[in-house]
Amino acid sequence: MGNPIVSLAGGSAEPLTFLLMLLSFGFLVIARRWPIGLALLLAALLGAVVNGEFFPLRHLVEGAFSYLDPILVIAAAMILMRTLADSGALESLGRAAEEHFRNQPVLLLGLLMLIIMFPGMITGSSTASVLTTGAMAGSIIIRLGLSRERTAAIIAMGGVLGMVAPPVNIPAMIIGGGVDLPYSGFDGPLALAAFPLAIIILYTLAAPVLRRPAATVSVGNAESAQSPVQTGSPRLALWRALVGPLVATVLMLGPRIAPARIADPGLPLVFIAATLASLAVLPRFKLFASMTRAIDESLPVLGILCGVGAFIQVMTLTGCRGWLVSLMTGAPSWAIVAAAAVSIPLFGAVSAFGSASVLGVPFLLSLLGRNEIVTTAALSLLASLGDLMLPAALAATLAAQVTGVDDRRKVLRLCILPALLTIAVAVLMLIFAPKIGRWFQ
Amino acid sequence: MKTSLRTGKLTGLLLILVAAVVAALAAPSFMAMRRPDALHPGAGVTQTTQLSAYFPALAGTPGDTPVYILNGAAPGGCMLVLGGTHGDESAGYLTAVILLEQAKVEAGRLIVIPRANASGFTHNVPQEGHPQRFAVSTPRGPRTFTFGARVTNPVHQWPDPQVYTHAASGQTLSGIETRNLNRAYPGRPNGTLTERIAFGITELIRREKVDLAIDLHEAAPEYPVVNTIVAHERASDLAALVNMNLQAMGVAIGMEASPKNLHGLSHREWGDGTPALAVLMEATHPAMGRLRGRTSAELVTVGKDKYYVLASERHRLSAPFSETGWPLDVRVGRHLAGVCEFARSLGEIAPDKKTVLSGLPEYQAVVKQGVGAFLN
Repeated sequence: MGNPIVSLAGGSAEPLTFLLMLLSFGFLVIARRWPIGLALLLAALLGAVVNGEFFPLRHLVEGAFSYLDPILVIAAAMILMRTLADSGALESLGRAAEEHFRNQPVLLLGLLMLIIMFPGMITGSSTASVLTTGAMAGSIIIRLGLSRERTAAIIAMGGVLGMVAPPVNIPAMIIGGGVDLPYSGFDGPLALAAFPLAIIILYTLAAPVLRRPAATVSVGNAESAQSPVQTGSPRLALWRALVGPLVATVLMLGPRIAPARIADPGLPLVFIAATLASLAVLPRFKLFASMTRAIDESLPVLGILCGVGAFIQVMTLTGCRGWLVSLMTGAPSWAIVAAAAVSIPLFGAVSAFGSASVLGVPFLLSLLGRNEIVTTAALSLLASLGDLMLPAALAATLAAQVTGVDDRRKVLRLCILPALLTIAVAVLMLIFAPKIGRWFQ
Repeated sequence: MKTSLRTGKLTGLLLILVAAVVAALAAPSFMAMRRPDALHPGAGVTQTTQLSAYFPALAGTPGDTPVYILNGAAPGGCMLVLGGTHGDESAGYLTAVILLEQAKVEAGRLIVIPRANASGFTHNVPQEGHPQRFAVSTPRGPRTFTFGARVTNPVHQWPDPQVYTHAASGQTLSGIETRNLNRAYPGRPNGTLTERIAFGITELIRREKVDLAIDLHEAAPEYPVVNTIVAHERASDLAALVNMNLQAMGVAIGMEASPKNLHGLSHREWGDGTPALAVLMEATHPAMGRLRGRTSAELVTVGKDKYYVLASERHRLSAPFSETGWPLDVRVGRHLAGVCEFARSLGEIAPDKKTVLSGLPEYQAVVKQGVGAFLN
């Protein structure tokens, strides 16, 4: 059987297919109010059918399974977070922070940003940051008096920059792997890319709290989470609250420190183990209701990930991906940095790691000879922004969820300036890569 | 509230039913990939065994794979050819198939493993839209072959760590590389499935006293290491001679030194850890690249792609790419010519290690008559 759209449009079949997929997705989401994941799946189905794939079930299923691991990570982490929230552990952590940093919000915020970034730094996943320490730190930042939206933006940006910061940066590994560049010597350039940005973005977003007179800033003067209060001494409550996060940290760090001796259990199992450890020491609560709520809260994101996977599979199958990559990397040499700055974050809308692989590698190939390590670090910074791009906008969506923001667009709006600043830093790194490279020799 | 709860349960049940129907309809296509292609060993094959003969722990696992041995009447050296390290690099796989179906060994010994990572042939990489099979025309009608994946099937090895640390060197790579056979050498007997396959192959090289080991690959046209021979430093003289001879017969090919700081790769670890001379050959495969257009079985066999032609005009590629593309016949022809030339040249440099092959077509014959003309 032939290919209807090629018969109709010839050489323009790929852009036309892509347009058709985008329009059908937009129509289903905006006019018919379908869930995003389902709309992506239907748009993918349509794209396949007009290209003569009349029974593309295998492709839709294969694509939908692309993100099985992140799906399990998110579900498991949400269960851990719900356990910590509903057992009163988050409340205990907030109180401890209040006690120790009563009048030092600048110091507290800096420490919290580092804590938010930490899981991303050791796992290379912004999701791990947002859903674990991001959620915990978020409850403390909200108690400082910062709005939930700004708190969520800090968590999202912390997650994204944690994913960039050394020692583990998976987009850099993927991009470097595409040209056989070993992942070594990246610590300095990645630290340069991530930490100054994290400090600037943190204090810019937290300005409303910092501008207030110090005496009025108190960890306890904001709305507190509606969770049960733990009984017993506050110190004991704090230690109980920390058991789950500590178990998760040990299980994540162990394989990094001694990879030959300690097998990596994978993030889903890490979070389930941390949940079980927390359940063993924390006060009892309505466990089944909590677990159900955790899955209910994460289902829309999980659905989006399935839909995105199927959408990209059909884009690749029908040549739309090749057309897009060709369009983006086809810029003249003088404009290649600008093309990378625009296209890599945008393509990250479907997946930050996918963008690193599909666009990051061709762009690195276009920029060879200009200090590959710094160039790769800068490209990975751009790729990481994919976690802020719609429709998945994983970091912002999950940050909105863990802070109780009902509309993720409010968070995304606050992330626009930090994202532009991040792009500016990446562009500067790309332009001055040879000079920056000399700093780290 | 009661109604809402009931509706919710009904929706849930309906969704489970839909999922079950989708699973039932989609499963046969995925399960069919687990049936290995039927290969038809020629008269030259004197012994067929399994990789588990060299590392028994692989027996009964998805990592076990057939090993074809072709013994010559006269003494000589031992040569190993690996195809299918990556299941999506079809030219390497088909070159190995032609060797086991057509080659005869006059002197020495040839060992062929056509599907080095058998698990990689049981699935496709999500989001790549690759075909599950492609067909090659033969005088007896079309013959189909599996188009697999670059890595071990996650059903056989899961979960991936976030970061893959190569055990022997401590080198770190992105997590998915933990399932890449060509990042797992020399392998570990108690490691992951991929590391155990690597260990089995390294054991084979040691026990069979392999003199020359060739790993056949393909790469995207934009990849910097393409249309080339990558040689361990001990094999560099041999590779240089082969390179010259191939150029003389019209096969434009480069030569690269195996990077000393890149670990887990066949040419590095075989060369460092065994007495074998270790080389790897790369051909150009448009179905593997990021710049390719429509993905289909035709792209695998015919090898034409308009976006690669455009990228070539923009000087964005490492390999030339014209309207004629990179057909499977040309890619297999290059690999086969390379293998034959390696055997011939090793015989010149070290006569006691010679492997004399016969029954194999010349490069031009494969290009003109097509791969199918040389399949049983």
